[in-house]
Amino acid sequence: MSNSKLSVSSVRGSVKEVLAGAADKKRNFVETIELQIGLKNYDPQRDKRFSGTVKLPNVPRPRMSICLLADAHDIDRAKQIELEYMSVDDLKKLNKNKKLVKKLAKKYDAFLASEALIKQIPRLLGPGLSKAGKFPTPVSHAEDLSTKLTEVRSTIKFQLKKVLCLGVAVGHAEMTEDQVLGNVMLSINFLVSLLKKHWQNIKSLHIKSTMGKPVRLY
Amino acid sequence: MSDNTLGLQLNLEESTAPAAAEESQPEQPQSPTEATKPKESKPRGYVNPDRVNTGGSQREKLGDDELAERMARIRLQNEKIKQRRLDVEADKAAFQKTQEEERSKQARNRQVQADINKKRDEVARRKMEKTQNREWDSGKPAATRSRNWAQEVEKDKAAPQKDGSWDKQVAAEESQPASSGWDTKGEYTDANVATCYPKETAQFPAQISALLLESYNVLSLDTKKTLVQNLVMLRNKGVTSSVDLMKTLFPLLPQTPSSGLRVFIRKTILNDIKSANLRTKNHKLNNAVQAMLFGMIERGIGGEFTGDKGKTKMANLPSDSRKTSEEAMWAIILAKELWRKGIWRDAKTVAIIAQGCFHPVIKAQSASLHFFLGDEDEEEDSDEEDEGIDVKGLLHQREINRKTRSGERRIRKQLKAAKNKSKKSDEPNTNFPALQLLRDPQTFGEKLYDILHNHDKKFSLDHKILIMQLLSRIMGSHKLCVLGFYTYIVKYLFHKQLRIPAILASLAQSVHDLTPPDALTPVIRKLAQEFVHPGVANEVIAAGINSIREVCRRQPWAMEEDLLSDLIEYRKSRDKQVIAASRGLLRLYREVNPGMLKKRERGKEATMAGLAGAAQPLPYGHAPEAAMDIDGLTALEDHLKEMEEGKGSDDESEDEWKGWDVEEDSSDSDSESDGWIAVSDDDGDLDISDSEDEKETDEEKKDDEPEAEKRVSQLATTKILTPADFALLDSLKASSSAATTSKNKRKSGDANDGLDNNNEFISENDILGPRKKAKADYEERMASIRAGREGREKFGSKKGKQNKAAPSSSTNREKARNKPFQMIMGSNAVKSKKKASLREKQRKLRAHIKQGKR
Repeated sequence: MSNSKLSVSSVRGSVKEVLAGAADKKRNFVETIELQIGLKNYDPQRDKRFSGTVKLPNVPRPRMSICLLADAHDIDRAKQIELEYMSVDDLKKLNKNKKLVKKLAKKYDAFLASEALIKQIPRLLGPGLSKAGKFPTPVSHAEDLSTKLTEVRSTIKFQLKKVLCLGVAVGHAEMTEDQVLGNVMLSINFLVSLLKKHWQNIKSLHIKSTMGKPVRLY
Repeated sequence: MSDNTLGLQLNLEESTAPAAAEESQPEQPQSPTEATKPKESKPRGYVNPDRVNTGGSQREKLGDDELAERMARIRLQNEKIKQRRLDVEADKAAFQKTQEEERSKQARNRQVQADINKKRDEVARRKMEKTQNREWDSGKPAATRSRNWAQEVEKDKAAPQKDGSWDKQVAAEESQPASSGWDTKGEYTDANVATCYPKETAQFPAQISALLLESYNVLSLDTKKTLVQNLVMLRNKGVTSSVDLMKTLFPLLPQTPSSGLRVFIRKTILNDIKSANLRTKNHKLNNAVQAMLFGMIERGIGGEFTGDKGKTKMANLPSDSRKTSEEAMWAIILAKELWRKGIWRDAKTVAIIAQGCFHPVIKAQSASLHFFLGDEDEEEDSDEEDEGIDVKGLLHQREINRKTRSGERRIRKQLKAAKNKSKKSDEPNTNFPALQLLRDPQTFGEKLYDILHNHDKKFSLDHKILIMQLLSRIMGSHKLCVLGFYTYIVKYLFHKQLRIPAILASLAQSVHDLTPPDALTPVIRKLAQEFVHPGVANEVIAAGINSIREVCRRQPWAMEEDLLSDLIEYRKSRDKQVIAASRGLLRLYREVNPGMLKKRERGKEATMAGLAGAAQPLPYGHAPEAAMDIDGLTALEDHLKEMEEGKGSDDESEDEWKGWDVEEDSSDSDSESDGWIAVSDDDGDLDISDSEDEKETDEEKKDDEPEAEKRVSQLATTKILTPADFALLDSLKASSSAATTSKNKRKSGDANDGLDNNNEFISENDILGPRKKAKADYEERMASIRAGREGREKFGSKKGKQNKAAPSSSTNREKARNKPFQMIMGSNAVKSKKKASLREKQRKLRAHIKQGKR
């Protein structure tokens, strides 16, 4: 079933196929292209769970919703680029209420936080954010917010949970073939470099668009 | 006759059921058994009020008046008797109801059976007549059947008699009317034949379990045992389901005072679940049993906490809470056992035992805590199997082979090695999977902390430490923030505290990189104040610094600069432990944050790295920067470039894709590698990954691009790295790191080890550090000498010596040696020696020497 070796041309072919599938039947939204990975020879209960983040060359999720947990200075900057934000007072209003924190965590895909604030996050919000895997990324006053945003949007995270499969968004249907290809290749290479036995830990690789059919890479 | 699947006349018999249930038991012509129950109808003589009117010769003599008077008297008497009977009946009715139903049902069924038999007989006869047309054969089947009937009748005849005796026994014991119509033996036969009478015995298991559950305390031990055995037999024969059996057995476990029966029940439960899960998981049964276990633990949860210290000990428990505690204990034991055997390894089992951690009864609580800490499993496992060295085989060989002392020694050595190996093989002593399977670790941790905090006075120190250890491990592995824990633990941090190493270890474990440093700073201050000052022993200082180091390894920002410089000064101490501990801390900070050290303490590498503008340590909450590419990929690319310039070197002739897939057959990859060699020789291309044309074009395209700083990401985005690439990458990374730290290989290795076990749990030994072996005093030395002498044989030759251990007579040689000289002075042997010539003496001496050499 699985061809034992993976070549660039075959990946290119599958990317083409996925893109064509997405173009064939236009949906009312921009479909995301997803890389799905199955692992083997790996015991998530015994072996250490790996996690790694990698910044892709092309932004895979431009429409990711982000919230800034801001101090006074950052509030102004957030207003300038029309970024959603929450001030310290807003956070205090949540009052460590688990449900509210959970709601907040659900509402956004990622969080940023002013550097001065980051230390207080566990005290202000409790463990809710880190439980959701959305612990805020610190941003200093010197950094440009919009570049930081694109950075966050183009960063993907491989994190193994209790099961032996994981999926990440690597692109969307409106990207060019080369862009998707680059993203896919980088994420595959990076993932394989994370694994202890490299390719021997990989059982399968698929890419698919949100509504499209999955295509097997490996 | 065992087969009544024809199901004839069943609804017809329904109408006769009440009739059969009545005390008088009207005769049913087709059921011969009813006639054979004399004991049951014993009081019937009083029942019939008209009895006086029947038979008897003297009645003739009575006149009308007399008769009337007598009749009146008798009526009165009858009324009384009736009244009494009613009482008795009311008393009995409750207990006999079930039995009578059973009996009536049996009767009914027998009637059905009889009908069936009749019909069968007819059918058989008809068949016989038809097939063989022999008259004498027609009666045969009927005869056999009637014989069987007779046996059945016999058995039924026996049953009620036993019933009666059983009634008496129970009544005598408990002054309670017969609660059961069962006798152990009768029942045993019933259970045995249950499969043969599926209809009749449909209610049988339910009745047994009801009997067991309701009147468990009343029954005698033997009866209970037999009942349980019967139930198990019924289960084995498939009459009842496993779930029903479990439902009966689980409540029995805590109430059973006899250990034998308890063991039996426990074994039964475990075996049943095991066999049910043998092929595939039997989710239905598992769910049912797990729900039951959960309920058993849940029932006790609301109760008041019992401590294991002072007045709050278990002694004066109310009986109901004791019952729930027993229940919970059993639930935990069973769940643990099933986990240990690998039958249940799911989140639900963990949830059951996690629930047990909050049980108010100490025993149950600590059993669950031990499960998560993984204390008991290891021991039992090591007993069960010694991998690697076959201990049994060795011992067996020893039995067979020649028994020499050297052999003995060798085997002792091997056994010791085996023991060591089994102990060392699984070092992290934690139930890692169970910790990972916890459903909501944060809530669990918070609850655990609440228990620890709220019942601080009630628990003994050992129990508190258990809770602390579990809490800290959960906090460490799930990266939880239970900030109250750090303020709580501060009060235990002084050096005279009992079991302080365990407390320090659990403190260190609880820290992780998301722990807020400001929560930890006071703890570290306290540690430094209490442990690290000149007024305490060197061991204490070492333990203090070590624990500070362990905390700071996980959260470097918890340290303050001046405190750090203080602690590092201890590396000039005289004691080796303290020096080692302090150096460890120094090394840690050279690695994670040299900026906190004074310039001259930073060391060469850190200083050079600082000059080169190496990255500052990540501030709190900063995730490591998202990787732009794979670590060391630049080096790989450079390496590839070099190779290209050198027209390819020999060391790359290895099979590129060899490690791709473990299942891959080698012949395929061999051919692949051949193809690769051809390509590289011909073109001098740098492509080492594949022989495909598309790949080459990609590579070339990449090479054409100018060497910008972005080239790195392109290798990863344009080419799929092969296993060989990864191997190369790893080796390059290793060599580059070795180049920077080539000064002292041992040191760098140590540092790496220290970083590697970052997330693992630490033990008390990590806190105590490597300890110098104290010099033994005179007593200890003598003791060790004596111990060495014990069981050792005396040195020297045993030739001609008496074996003192096993009493024996003295040898001739010994006798000759001990003989007084005066007695042998005149003997020829002595005289001839004196008289011997020089030549003779020489000869003898030479012979002696020659013999000795042999």
